[in-house]
Amino acid sequence: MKPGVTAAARILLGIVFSAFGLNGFLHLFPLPSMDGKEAQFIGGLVASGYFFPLLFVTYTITGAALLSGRFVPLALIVLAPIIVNIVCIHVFLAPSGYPLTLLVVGLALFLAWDYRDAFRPVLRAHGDGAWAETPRVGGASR
Amino acid sequence: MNSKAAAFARILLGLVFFVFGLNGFLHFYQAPMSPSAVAFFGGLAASGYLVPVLFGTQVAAGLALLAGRFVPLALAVLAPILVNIIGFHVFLAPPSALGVPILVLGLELFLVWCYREAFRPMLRARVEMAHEPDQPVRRASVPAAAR
Repeated sequence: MKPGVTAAARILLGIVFSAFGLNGFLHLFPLPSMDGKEAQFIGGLVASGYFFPLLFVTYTITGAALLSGRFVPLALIVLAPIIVNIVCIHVFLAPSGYPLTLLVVGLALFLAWDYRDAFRPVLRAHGDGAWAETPRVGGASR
Repeated sequence: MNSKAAAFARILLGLVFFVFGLNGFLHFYQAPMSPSAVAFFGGLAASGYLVPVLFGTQVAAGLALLAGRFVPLALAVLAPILVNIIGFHVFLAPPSALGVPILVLGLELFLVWCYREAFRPMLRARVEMAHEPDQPVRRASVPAAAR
């Protein structure tokens, strides 16, 4: 993939998460109103006290990482479980807002593929033999 | 790294998540909850998807740890769940219930350290992409040098 395309995807995803992260604190733009199960779900998360501040700080920091191009794989893996929940919320609770969700999923998957070398060792079935539980003899793995 | 300590920590952490994950479906143990914790879990249950996804993930990650396969992946998947377990226990549960979360956090951090080689490339600030991204650059630079 051309470096320019990767950079564009990274910066676009960075803008989305920085904007929603900062919006959580500064209320720059209104979010769609909620009702029913979705309001109940979000209300429960608000009741926890810690969840939304943590979420918006995470958005802002990972967004800044993506924008600056530093710690990009780490930002992607931190955002991964959050994106899973964004998708589930839109599938199960809030049918509106699909275009932005699809954009975010597309950009994240594209970037994860582009940076796949960084994730490869994490996805190996046998971490054991090579790294942790057997003494390293000449770098041999099971 | 002491290999037996790593295996012991892996199996203990696997057991904890496997058992608590199954408990999410079978309810053989119910911890007493504060009103704010009840409101929190009520909200999670209202989502419809989150509770099965959460406990299903815990069962799967617990099994991976017990089997010793995909251990770094299991640790990475459990990390954000663990952040919320700690957040939940600090903000919503009585301090006396902090024992298990602290044990789990300790096991997770110890195992992440044992498996740090797997996480190292992912944690770098600057990543050189060995695939396509740098190839057009290299190709373009060769004729320029020849000229």
